[in-house]
Amino acid sequence: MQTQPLKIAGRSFASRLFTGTGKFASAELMAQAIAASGSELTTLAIKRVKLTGEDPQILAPLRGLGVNLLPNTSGARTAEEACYVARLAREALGTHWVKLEIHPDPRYLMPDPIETLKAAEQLVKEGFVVLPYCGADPMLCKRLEEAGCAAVMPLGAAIGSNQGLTTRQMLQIIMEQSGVPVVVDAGLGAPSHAAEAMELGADAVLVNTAIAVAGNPVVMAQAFALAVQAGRLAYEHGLGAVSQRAVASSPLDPFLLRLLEDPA
Amino acid sequence: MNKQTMDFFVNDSPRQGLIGLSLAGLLLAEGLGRGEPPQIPAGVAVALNQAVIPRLKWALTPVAAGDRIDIFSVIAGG
Amino acid sequence: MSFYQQWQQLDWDQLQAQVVNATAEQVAAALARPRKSLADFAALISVAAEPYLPQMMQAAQRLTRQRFGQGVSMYLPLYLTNLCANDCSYCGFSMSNAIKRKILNEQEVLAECEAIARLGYQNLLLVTGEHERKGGIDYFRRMLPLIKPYAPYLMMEVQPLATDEYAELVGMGLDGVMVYQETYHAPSYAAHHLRGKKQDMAWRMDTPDRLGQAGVDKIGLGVLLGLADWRTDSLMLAHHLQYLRKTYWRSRYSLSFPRLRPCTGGISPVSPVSERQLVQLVCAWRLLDPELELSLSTRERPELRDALIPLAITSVSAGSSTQPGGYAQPAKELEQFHISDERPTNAVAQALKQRGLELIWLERGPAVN
Repeated sequence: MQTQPLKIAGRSFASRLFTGTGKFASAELMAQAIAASGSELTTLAIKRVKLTGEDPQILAPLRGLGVNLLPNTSGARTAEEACYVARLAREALGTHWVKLEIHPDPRYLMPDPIETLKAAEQLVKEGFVVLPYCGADPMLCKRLEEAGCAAVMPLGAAIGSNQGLTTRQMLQIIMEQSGVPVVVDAGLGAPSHAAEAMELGADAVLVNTAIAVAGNPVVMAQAFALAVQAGRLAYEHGLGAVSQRAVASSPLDPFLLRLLEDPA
Repeated sequence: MNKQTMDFFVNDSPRQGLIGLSLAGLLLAEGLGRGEPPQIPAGVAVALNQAVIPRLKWALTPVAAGDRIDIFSVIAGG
Repeated sequence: MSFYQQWQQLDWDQLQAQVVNATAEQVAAALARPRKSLADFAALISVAAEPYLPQMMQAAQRLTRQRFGQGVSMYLPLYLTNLCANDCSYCGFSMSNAIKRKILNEQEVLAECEAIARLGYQNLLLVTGEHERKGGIDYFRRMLPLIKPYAPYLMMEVQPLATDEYAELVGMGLDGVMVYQETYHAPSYAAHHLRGKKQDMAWRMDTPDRLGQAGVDKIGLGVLLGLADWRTDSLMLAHHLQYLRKTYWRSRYSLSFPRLRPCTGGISPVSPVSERQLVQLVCAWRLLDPELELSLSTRERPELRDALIPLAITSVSAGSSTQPGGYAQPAKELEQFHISDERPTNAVAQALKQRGLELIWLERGPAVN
């Protein structure tokens, strides 16, 4: 069964599961898991090399999979640093797509809304396709959309926390209002969390930690793929509503009662 | 100190090299080359004094005394 | 990107089928869902929803009170001119109608403002025909500074203007603009707009885009119910509103429900809307969009107004005159349409208060003006 393809900045994605390359035990396991997930977009990071002569093991297996690469700006603590990393990433990978993330807070890695908006404005001006990781703040998401971001990536919960959709109410408002795709990022710890996000109306989810640190990352990647597809199918095909509790009715105006009885 | 050499920094570490050294030459000297003849693999980016230098210009860009060169690479990350 | 381009992707027949084919099960599911989709709205305005009307009324009233409290905003239309350079089959102001034409000058405008101030109104809606040359931006530039002191909340229902013109008027104190598409059915639109700039459907349809871009606080929309199939037109309007809400999210939106009425040289509606259907439509809008402002004019008779306003309406006019100069000096031969609720303001106010509503004489405008 097929879900509708997702379009971001003119590129079409059949899979609505985005993945990350971090925290895997080995590059081989990473490649196998991403292949099993069916993901067509995966994130990676840019760092200053240690000059120890070690190869970056990561790129070759990813190129082999044919997956689109989405460099992130993790490590940046200001808009200026993030723009710098984005430009480096564009050179290193030959893509103008960037996952913008700025977290000056080393403890919970919370995205800085002010620096993120500033960086988004600048990077859009420089021709980047910007996908900002941000708090689940509906107003911020509208501002990022207005700045020209190709999608928004609000968090479900703190990065790596596996807590699920702790921001559910705000995510609902974001999805209702957004004019660009909404990708729920961070905090999705179980396939059921991913399915829940998709049922709510998320356009995609990004999962990294929950796959990478699973007992069997390859099988877990498949489990997430199934959950994302199930959630999306349910969303696209008219999910039944949970009945609201009965509400005591107040008497209707006599005029309206007569109107109800009229044959016309 | 030989008059033919200059001092600069790579990823904050002091380095010495011959005057006229290009960025491409520096990257090979840092052991980043792979294959025969050695080439710099994809996934590497270089900044000269915080300005990103496109790969096509590495061979044409000379390193000057006091320059700060930063070499970056793609790594795994979420 | 503007709505006109999106509208071109919408298929009238398909939307019509969506409403016609709605089932009772879909209506029940729509009623149960906390946030309604456009598909839910299609079901709620369908024939299949008629047995559910009592539930819809209860739910609409609950949502309205939850969002708006007991408040109902009072406004008054101020007709500046009946000059018009359009010929529209349904309108008494049409240029081919042999009626007396009038455009208020400065003194007459001030006299109207004084008369309106005595009635207690501070939310004013300026209304004109569509006459670019005599009743266009130059005329508004002259009149707005005179009117603004009497209208702390000032709205307009005039011909579509350009973005920079709207922005200029916002700078002079304009708070809201009502612009009704009349119909989204292209053949009907062409059939009823026979001469004049209003024939340009795209220019009219993109007016709310221009209002949003100009930073207008309140954007008023509507279709002329009965001109084409009112259910499909309403579903089209719901698509339009959804687009606008996403794109120009800083603005507020209001909806009006003009039903096609007899007027001088007028036509009969092809898709008449009964009073019960009007109640269904108003309730369906409230269920779709709990934050939407809904307006009901004096076109409707008192019994219906008094019963429907408490369910879902947030803005009403009373004691309206639809002729230029009508507050200072009433003269029926100039009017745009006959009103049905001819009660004076205080009688309407009394009736609404008896139903537990509070009257708001001045709307909340932008905080900094």
